Amino acid sequence: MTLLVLALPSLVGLLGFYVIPFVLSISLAVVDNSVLWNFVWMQNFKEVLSSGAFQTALKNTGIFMALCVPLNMVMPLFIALLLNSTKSLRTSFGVIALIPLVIPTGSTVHFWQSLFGLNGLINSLLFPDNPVNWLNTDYARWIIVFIFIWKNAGYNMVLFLAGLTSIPKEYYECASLEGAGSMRRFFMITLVYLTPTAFLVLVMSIINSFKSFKEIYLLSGEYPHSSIYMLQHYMNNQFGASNYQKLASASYILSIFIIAMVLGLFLGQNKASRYL
Amino acid sequence: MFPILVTAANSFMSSFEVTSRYTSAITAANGFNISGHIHYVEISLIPDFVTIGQYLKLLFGSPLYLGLFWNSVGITLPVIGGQMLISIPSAYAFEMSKFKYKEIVFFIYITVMLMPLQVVLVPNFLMAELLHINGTSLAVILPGIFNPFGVFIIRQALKGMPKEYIEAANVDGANHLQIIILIIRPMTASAIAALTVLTFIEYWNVVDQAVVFIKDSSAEPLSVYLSRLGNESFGMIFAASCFYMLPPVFVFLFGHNNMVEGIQLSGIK
Repeated sequence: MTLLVLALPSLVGLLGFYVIPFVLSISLAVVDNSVLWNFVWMQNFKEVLSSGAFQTALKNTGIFMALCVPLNMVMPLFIALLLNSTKSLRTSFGVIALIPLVIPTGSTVHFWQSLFGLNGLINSLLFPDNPVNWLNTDYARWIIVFIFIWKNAGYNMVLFLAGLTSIPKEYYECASLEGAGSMRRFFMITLVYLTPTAFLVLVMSIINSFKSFKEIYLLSGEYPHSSIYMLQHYMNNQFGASNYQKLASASYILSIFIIAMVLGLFLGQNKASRYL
Repeated sequence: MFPILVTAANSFMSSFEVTSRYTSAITAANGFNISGHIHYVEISLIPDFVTIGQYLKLLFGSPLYLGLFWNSVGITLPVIGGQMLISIPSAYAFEMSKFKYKEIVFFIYITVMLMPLQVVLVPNFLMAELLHINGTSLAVILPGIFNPFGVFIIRQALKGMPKEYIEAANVDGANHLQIIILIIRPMTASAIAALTVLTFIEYWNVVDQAVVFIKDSSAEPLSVYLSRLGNESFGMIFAASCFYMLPPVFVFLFGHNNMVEGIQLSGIK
């Protein structure tokens, strides 16, 4: 009984601030406007789904995640593998790797602008005669991916290192005794036993890729170039325009995607751990 | 690392120099460095004249800055304190309880945790209206305290901890509260450190929620101010950024050992 009392504040807070208002906001999504409550059921959803801005935002968010998450998993894995073989500098590398995460966005945004902006360093070094505000071109997506990886690779690297060090050495010794080459060892031992860590890295990468909205917003404002206009921009602008109906519908669509994704992750993880 | 060095070094430049180096404005100092019609940014680590003019202007010239600094502190510290008070007992309860639907409830926690900020913004806004705290910093603090990330990270750490300690304490007759304070807290110190640092960063850096909920510009946190500063008085921006950067780095250095362990622990299920 006391256990319930202990957990109660958190439960109440979560329900009260997150879950219940979210369920209530469906009432916003099915009405016409905030003043006259005409039920229009699915019309808002239809409007949102067919709006060009939403589709662009959806496509961009999807592409961004598809680019960032794999890159941000493979690269830290490589670095963690390299670091795993040299025992010495591990902690200092951990600190250095985590520093980009700790630096607040407000401080680094200015630096990125002075690199990629109209009078930026890249322009002066490579294109002195033809400067271009790189954040306003199609390359903007790659810039944001680069910034994202700069910031978050350290976190994933620390996670992977932990996972790597938790694989008992005996497996490797046993395999090399039985004559397995290093490629075989990598694929059959390392990757297999790294699966739970990899799942956690995947989840955290997805969360962090949503958080990268902050950098994009601080760099390019409310209406960035069309290749980096994300779902969060769409919703932010609807919020600013007090267009709560569209906002609520968009939230619901987005959350359906996320719930589907979480379910997929959970089921995949259960299957994978049974295989182990 | 490079952005940090640049910011730190440039904070010692005078305001004139910052303007000449970084903006497109053409001044007496950079007249010789123009190609075409645009003056390019010169990123340098060594200022021509080392002055602390930026810092002086920041701290004494505009008293606004310090006030905003304390605003940021006033948001971040309550969130961290509240998280400690609420998440640790909750994670303990999740771990210990034998409630049949425990995992389903935890699944809801994880789903909420994964939602991007904008999705939770609407529910938070509704709730803030209902509780009449819209427009105060409470509307940013309260959702922050109940953020499920804390429960998640501490529960993961608890999963890896041997339960014998708790059983021994039970045999000795300790009640739940004593167990939490005397056993759980020291054992999950790394996870707690990780949670502190990560939450600190997230709420020191809060821009979105603050813009939505806090309209009074004297109550806004530093992060919002800094993002607007870039468009206004350019000269102070590096010193402002440095100052802004110091608390997270400080907190980080304080707890980094524990934090690295904590992040690692949360990965080992």
